[in-house]
Amino acid sequence: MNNYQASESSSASSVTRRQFLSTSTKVAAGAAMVGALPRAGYTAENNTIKIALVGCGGRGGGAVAQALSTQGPTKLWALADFFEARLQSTLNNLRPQFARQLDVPAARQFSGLDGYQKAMDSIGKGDVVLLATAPAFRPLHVDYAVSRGLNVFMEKSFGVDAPGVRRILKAGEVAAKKNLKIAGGLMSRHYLPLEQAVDQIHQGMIGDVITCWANRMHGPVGFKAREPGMSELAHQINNYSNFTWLNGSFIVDWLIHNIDICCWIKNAWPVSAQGIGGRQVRTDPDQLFDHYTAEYTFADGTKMLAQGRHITNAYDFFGDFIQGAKGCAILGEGQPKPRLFKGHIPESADLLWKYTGPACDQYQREHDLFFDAIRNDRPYNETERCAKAGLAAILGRMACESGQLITWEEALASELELAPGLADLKSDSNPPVMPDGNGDYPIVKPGETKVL
Amino acid sequence: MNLPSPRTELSPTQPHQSSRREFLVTGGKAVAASALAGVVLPYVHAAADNTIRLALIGCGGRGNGAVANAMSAGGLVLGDDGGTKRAVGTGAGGPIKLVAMADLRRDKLDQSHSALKQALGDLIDVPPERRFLGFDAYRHAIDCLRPGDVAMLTTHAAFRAPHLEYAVEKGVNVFMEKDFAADPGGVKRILRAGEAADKKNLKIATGLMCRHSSARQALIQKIRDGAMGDIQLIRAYRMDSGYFMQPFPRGENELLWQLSPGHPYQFLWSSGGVFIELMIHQIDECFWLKDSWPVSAHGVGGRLAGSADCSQNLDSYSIEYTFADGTKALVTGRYIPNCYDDFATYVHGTKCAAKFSGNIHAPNGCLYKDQRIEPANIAWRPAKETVNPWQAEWDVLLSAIRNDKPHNETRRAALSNLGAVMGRAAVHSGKIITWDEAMASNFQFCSNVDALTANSPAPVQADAQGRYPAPIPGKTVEI
Repeated sequence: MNNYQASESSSASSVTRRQFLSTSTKVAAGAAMVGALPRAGYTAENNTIKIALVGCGGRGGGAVAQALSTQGPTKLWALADFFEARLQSTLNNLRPQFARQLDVPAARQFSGLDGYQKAMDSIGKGDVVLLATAPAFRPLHVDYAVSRGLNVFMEKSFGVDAPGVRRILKAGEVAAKKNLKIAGGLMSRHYLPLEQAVDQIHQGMIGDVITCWANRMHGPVGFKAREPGMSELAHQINNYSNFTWLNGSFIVDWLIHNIDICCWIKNAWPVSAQGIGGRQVRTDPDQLFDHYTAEYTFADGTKMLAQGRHITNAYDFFGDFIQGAKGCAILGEGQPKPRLFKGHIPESADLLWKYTGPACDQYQREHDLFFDAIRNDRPYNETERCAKAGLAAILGRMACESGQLITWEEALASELELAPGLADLKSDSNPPVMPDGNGDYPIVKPGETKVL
Repeated sequence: MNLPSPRTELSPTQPHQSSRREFLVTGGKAVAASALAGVVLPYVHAAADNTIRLALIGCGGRGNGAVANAMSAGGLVLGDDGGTKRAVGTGAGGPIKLVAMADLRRDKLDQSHSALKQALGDLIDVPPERRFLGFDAYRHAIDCLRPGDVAMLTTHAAFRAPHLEYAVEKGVNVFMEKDFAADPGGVKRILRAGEAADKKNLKIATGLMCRHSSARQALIQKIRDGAMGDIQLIRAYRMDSGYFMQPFPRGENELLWQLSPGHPYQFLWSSGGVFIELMIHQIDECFWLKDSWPVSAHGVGGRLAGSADCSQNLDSYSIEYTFADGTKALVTGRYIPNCYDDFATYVHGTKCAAKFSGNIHAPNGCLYKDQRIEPANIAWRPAKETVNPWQAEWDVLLSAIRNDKPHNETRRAALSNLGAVMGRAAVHSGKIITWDEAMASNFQFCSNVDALTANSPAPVQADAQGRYPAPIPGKTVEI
């Protein structure tokens, strides 16, 4: 057991994981290390970064696989999920490929709403926690991880409301002071083909960018019927994409990538948004809208339109369409081959640029960069950018759900919490929204619903 | 007394903003007969005198407003200043009078006649025997006209095609209000009638008055001259508090109820629905700005969850039109109380942005210094309008008739209407609708509109709760 799992109070002066590792990776410096560390014979084993996964859904399992595939020794050390069954199934899924890196005895498998604390308590400074629960819990979990001095990979989305965003922003500042590394799950920012495409746009290949279209349109979000004996809270967490307090709505949790990419291209966050949205076709007992169009304005007067639709047998498009003064681009999540064109018709005859480099796994690359920063003690803190991308998406939801024109400042200053008292929620608590006598849940109404 | 608003009978459930055209001013001012006497123009048509005679078919607010503009009497009837500089009754330089009226309802016809008579006196020459009621009243009213006269077609859109066809068959000129058709089948009929009118050298004006706005024309010229670079994005908005409809009251004649005041725009078959009724002007502005028709439309829209609205309208529409050069127009309509409202058309070019039109079609457009649409950022404004567009469209029509100049706006208006239908269909169906698909379609909401009588079943039927079917994206077909 490493003894540099120092207590919080001694963190400032203690040898941190990164500092140690940045030294230890230079193998030749072994002799020097002997003097610097409490005990010798340490290097190989203690080069290992322990990983705790909080939230064992599909993205959580994927994030573990990527973390375990990074350079250097890593070990999955603890698991937490609300549902006990997910713990074992996650291990079973990982075992064929990562058997030698799994070290998660039953004592480090934690279920229930407080499992996150136990999982994080089982690892130490310099280790990594992967936060991949429903977005509602992200601010709470990030806050705790930073207080524990852990490096953090946080899946999107980064909270569901402004108080949550502010909490993450603050945690990010604390993390910076502690030199913790924080990665956020906006993997598109680490997709090499996209990096190069955005670079070309920034260099002016399609002229000044005037309109950005961020689209995600496809079939409806699934809905899992309540399992026998399941509590209302468990049922909602089991369907977290269907309840706004848990996922922030689909314009937040599912469109955040393509909204973020447009803001990246504009090198700016929007100053305001207005929009429409509604629930025209969907009948499942949940809270989802099935369509949104949010119109964002940037400080330079240009626009971003975020369009989301989840309706079967309708027109589908998943990606960003960027229109500049000289040309256009198709890129973003859903468009793995970013392309730039002359004019506004994306036809191959007018192709200006496409990516010709090596293949890139954006999910793997975001973890490679993150772990590399940890091992080599390079600054790495994506918190502010991720939290603001989250706020941009939340701003769009606020505009569409309220029917109002809402400014960035108003959105950021909002005190409205979608799940007040979330930290005190227990496994047997009622969730913040409950069905009525017919089993229906409250649906927001533009013109009536308060969102600030 | 007040008539309904002259250009639109649509009044949001909660008033949005009062229009200068919402109130009928009945000053009871005497008609300037002496001014009439001084005007002598050569006869252009083989008529007994040079008076242009009007037949009003559809006696709602739009019809009354059009009569006022035909007589250069906006100041007297509409309270606007667009036509008051000219002698009343001498529209575009010659005498004019209203000789026949037609409507489905006696109360509407009487109300309209009495208000017009009070304001315009002898220019309204419609004795009881030339006031016609019923589904075939339009024929009798048009039969009162001679070649060179003008049939004013101002009912809701469902009837525009049969009325236009008959007017053209009878060889009279036409002023037809927007919108022109509820569906692609109706658009086709309008197009064909327009072509027949050309062959007969008939003059046809359409109620897309923005095309006659001098401020917009000046802005268009500036844009064509390159002042804002290439147009990249057009954004048109019209949002207000909505048009909630109560259930159909059992026991009423359902067809007549659907066509009674306040109801036609709640049904797709009769008017094309509230979105097209309200938005066609600004959709037409988009096409004018781009000087082309769109190649496709995509849209999203819906209705408030749990809405008790019994109409066929959705209460939000957002349509993305794509033009052949790949640029876009975004058209947004919303009809929900207590939301952010805007009523304007904006343009973004490669060099800067522009406002093309403002609240209630105000001609307050301008160019901005860059993409920021802010009052402090204005770079150029067109000259202030001296004749408002509702008056200007009549001046052009009457001048074309008196001087026998070509004037037929039918095709352009019908194709703008088709663009509106295409956008509505994109929202209602959830599908991309191409221009070619819309042009090829003969879809009609009501296949027997020519044969409707007071005893006909309504083209769309209420359910047991008095509600009408609303569109369902993914299922609805309108093309």
